[in-house]
Amino acid sequence: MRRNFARVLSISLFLVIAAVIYFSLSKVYPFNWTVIARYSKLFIDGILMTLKISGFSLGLSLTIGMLVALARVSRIDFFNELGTLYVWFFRNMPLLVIILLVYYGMGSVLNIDRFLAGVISLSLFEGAYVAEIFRAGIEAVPPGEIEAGAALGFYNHQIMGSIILPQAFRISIPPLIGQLISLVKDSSLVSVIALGDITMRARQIGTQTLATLEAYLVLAGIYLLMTSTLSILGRYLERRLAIP
Amino acid sequence: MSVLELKNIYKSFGDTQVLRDVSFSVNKGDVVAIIGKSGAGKTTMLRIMNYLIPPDSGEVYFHNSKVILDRKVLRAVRSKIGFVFQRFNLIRHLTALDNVAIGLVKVKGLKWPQARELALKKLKEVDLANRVNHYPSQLSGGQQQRVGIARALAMEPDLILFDEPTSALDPSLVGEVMTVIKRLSASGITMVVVTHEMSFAKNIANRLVYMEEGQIIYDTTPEQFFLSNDKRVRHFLNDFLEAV
Repeated sequence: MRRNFARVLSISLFLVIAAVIYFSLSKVYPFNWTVIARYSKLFIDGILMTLKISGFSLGLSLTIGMLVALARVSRIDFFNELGTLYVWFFRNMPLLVIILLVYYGMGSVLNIDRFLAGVISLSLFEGAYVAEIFRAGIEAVPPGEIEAGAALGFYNHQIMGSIILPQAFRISIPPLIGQLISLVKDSSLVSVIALGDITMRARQIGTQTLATLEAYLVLAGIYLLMTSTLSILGRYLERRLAIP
Repeated sequence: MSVLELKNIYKSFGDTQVLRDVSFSVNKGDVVAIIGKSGAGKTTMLRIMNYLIPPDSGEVYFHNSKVILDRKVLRAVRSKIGFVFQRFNLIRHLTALDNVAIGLVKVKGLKWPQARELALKKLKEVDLANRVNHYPSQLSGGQQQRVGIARALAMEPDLILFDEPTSALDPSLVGEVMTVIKRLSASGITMVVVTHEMSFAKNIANRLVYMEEGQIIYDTTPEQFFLSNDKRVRHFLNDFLEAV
């Protein structure tokens, strides 16, 4: 009850501040929303592109993350080192630089289209973080349960498949959702290679209509909406898969 | 007829020698209690029996054939040796029923429906028919340990190893687990029990192994052991009585 009250209060305060800023700005800046509304189709195209890039990158980064995590917990030193090297490289490299490297660097040798370049860059980058999340999840599984599997006569891959991974995955859901939200936000950087995601579209609309502030406000709202939806989805998934 | 035999086992962890030249054999129908102070090497010896820990030197024979570090050999041996853990080590994301059934599926190759049918029977044997769909976190320690016992039983082992099965339990829950273990010993199952329950060692076991500093000091009948005038034994029993 008190919690709800605090929430309503803070949201109201936020709205009041936003309204005050908006109205004082409107004294000096002529807000023009009608022109923005005419470009709604372009916004929707942008949203779809952002979702498409994020979706493909999510799939690929989960795959990369799982493989790298398995390499990092492997008993084979070579795989171990390889995984460590991967995480080191991609966590210490700005995403923007990776995008430039992949698109302009590798693109000058190979023929990579924008979309593919964007997805590969994002996946390589996020994959390193996903790998660390999975690794932490794997290491959080109690050793006693692994021992129990061994004592029953399980092969190692069965211990991994039926005991470790199902639990590691559940443990990883909350941080994974956080990472997925980062992925959606980070995808805005692909606008530098003129891939028509929502950020690029907003910039376009801003320059075309001169209603720059309006375009960017809409952009900010769209990101908030997308990421909040993911949070809610994540909480649902977490509850759904929780072990009693 | 020897079910399991240890020959001249040595084991060290780092600089600490835990087992020194231990030889021991379990015959069909034996109910062996292993007692001794903590740090005497009891648990290590038990874990070497199913090769959860490989010895530094010495051999383990199961039904007179040598156990080696080979995945197929280990699977065959471990699937015939039940192991009941001090801390139960149930798999958290599986119900009591599936905890018992999973070994049958993954190791014995049964289909899930048949495995669950058999698991249900075993859970009834440990008086848990009304808890089959509970998750480990929803069970008391005593109930979890009985699931652990049912899990071992379901594999129809030639031998069950118990690693201090009641040490992690609330005193009030020891009874229900001991009742089940007593019932098993009466049914003729071969078992080796590392225990601090002197009443079990005295009244139920037909063989008593007393260990000190990594060696077997006595391997005798309970009657003889408890009447022994050996200073070390009297000392151990006195310490024990004081502790109780």
